[in-house]
Amino acid sequence: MKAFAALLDALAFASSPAVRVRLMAAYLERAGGPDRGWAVAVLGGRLDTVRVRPAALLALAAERVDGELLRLSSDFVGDPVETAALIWPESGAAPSPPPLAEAALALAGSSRSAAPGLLAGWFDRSDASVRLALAQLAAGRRPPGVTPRLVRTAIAAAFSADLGAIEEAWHGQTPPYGPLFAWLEGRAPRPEAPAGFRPLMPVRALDETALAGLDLSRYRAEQQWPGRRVQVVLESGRRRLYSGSGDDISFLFPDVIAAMEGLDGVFDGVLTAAAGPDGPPFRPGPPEAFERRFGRKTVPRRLLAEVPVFVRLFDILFDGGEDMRVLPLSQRRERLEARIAGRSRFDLSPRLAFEGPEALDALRRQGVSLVLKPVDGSYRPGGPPWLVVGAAPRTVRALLLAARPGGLGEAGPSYSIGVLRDGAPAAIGDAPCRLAAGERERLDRWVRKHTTGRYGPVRAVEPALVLEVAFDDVRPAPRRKAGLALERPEITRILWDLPPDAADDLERLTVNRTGQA
Amino acid sequence: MTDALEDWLRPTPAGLWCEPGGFHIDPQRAVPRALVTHGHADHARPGHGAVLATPETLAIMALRYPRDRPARQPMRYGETMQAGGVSVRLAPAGHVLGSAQAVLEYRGRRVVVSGDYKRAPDPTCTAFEPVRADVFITEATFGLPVFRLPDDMAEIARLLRSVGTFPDRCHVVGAYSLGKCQRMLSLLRRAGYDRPVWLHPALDEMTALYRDFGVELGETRPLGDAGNLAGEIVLQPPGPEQRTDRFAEPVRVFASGWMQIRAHARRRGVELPLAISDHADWTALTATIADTGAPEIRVTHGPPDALIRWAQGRGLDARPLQPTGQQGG
Ligand SMILES: [Zn+2]
Repeated sequence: MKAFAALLDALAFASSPAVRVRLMAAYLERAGGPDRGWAVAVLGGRLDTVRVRPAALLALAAERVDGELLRLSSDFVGDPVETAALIWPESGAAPSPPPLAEAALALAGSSRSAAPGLLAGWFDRSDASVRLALAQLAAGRRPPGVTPRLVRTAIAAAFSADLGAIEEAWHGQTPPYGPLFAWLEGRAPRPEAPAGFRPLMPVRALDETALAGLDLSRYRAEQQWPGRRVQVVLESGRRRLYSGSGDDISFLFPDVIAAMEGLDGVFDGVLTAAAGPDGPPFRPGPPEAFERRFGRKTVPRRLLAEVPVFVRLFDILFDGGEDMRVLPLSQRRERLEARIAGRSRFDLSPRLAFEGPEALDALRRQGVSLVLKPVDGSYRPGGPPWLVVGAAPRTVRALLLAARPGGLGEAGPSYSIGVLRDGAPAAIGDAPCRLAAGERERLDRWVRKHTTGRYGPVRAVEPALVLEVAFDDVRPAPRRKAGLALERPEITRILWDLPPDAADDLERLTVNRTGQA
Repeated sequence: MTDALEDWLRPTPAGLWCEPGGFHIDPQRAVPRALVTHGHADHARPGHGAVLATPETLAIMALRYPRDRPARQPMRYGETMQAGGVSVRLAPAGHVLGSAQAVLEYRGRRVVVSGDYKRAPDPTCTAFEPVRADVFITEATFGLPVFRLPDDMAEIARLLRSVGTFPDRCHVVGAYSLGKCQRMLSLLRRAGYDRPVWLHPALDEMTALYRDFGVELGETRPLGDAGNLAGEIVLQPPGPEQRTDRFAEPVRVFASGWMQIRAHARRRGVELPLAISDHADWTALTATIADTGAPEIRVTHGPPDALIRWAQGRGLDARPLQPTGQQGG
């Protein structure tokens, strides 16, 4: 317990994830026996105990210390948990604290009424550092910045093992992780978890320069779908739905679990709300509705009907008992397509054909985010990640139609803009101008010089100046002559030298009907 | 009731004033005659006409205030002198080199002014000597029962363990130039650490002074342009203005009793807080009050309430010493 308390002390002040990993690894290298496993459970948040409230800890101290001294101390220290641990009277006898394994097991099997008594007994045998550690354990506090993933990274470092292999063996293991450590120490084969979560292929965002340097002929593209990454597992008759971080979310989605009938294997995909019950293929529904399916204890039948969901699959890790991950993407994809055909609640993420950079750009200009995957790549989470290419910032060349000075509380003037419809300007929105002050002043001089009429504070101008306007999306606007409007437009450049007919035609703008981004 | 202590020894804005003796103790302003318990700046100010202190404290003041020219009156531990009917003696306080308690006797009553003190063993200064007293005026820097500091060797073991865990990082230990720096050196040596320790220039002269008084501190080296000092231990004055970016992935260490409280350690941005102090912790404060046998306790230099509460609970006449005009430290 002493060593674990020292670890918690050090973690409380560690300056970076790398430092945390090193501290935990150093502990794991020295620790042995069940303490080591329980330490991993505590650090990874897998120790389920009753939570002793901070006030209850302070009350324990109050039974042993003068109330006024306790109050003065608590005011000074601030944290009641720390106060109780520090102020606890000491007998002067050499400390003989319980081993971590003993304390963890006893706390896990304890009740809210019995836990404080346990603690008091241990406190009497411990020094301040151990008391603080025990108090944190009982209060359910974990060291800041320590994630389950970081703990596994530390295990990998301590045993010079492959993190991917640990991740795979991890799910289904329970504290104190005896079989896991037996394998890490070379005493036993790697534990196999039935219906276990497998680590997912990571994705990484790709910037424009990296994209330009990419040999696109080696890649396949899919759209990046909104929703949550999930792993679908049906093995040995056990069905599981895991979140991307490996949490078992099966109980939240009985509809998906039921539809897994016959789907023997492990699959990677995106779970999202369906716009309606019909499919496949499905259309994604509104994200707000989808959120209602999360963060609950029970799932009412009504909710299943109101917010239908589906899983859009894009990869297969196991087909029955066969490990597909070693195969190249092209072969996995074939198998996936064969396995999914005709299922309800599951459909396929379509492959996007693209011939080269231009075709890719065209897709991006339509507001599509893409995931690029190497055709011959295996499914190896420790290897190079899949690449995400964001939608291109969307721009249009528009004509300046009018200028309106900024009123009180507004950021600045706004400019009415339009595109060409049958050769005549049609307004598509009002955009602010975030250019440098000099350029803005030049624009305002141009407006004064080319004013054709005044409507209150608004100056209509000759439609002769072309602007580059960035926007997020296009929405239908039936009351406008153009029939559509830009979402969040913003003037990004003034194209002083272009003639008015260089402005874009209305046809370039189409409403993104799927609502997918 | 007592015949009032305040008749001959009382706090004033300048400091504790002994009227029949005609001197102040640890005055905050320049006074004609000062008794200085030790060399820390909040006790030893420049500009006095005459200073009575241990030879070590006088040497420390001369180093700190090179242009200061008081009449220096050295007095060794145990020596006695008379001043206006007051008998004055200095007893070791165990705080830093030369630190002393002032033992004053007047008309048959003995008052002990502790100055700053500690009871933990420290080879860099003479150990605290408990003196029986009628009135004990004690510091209370750590006057709360949450300040029961761990064994200093256990804290040093934490530092050395961290050096072992992070062999590629430089451990930069914040330590005050007078006392804490030399204490850390001495503790490291006692723990068997025999590599050279690297000293910031601001710590050089005081450390040399300790050596002049025969204190063994092992090999130290000036920082100079010694590179990033990966794997080494550096001592430098504490404070955010102290740069650490020249060092290899520096581990910021700070040695102070305040580090016992996590919120304090966090506020200082410390990665390895060490609760090592040159002040008495709660255990030492209460033990010392008992050791002096004094029925009257005055508390200064620190939050007085808890210690007064504790002493009153033992039937002692305990009060804050006010006004002090001084800040604890
Ligand atoms: Zn001091």
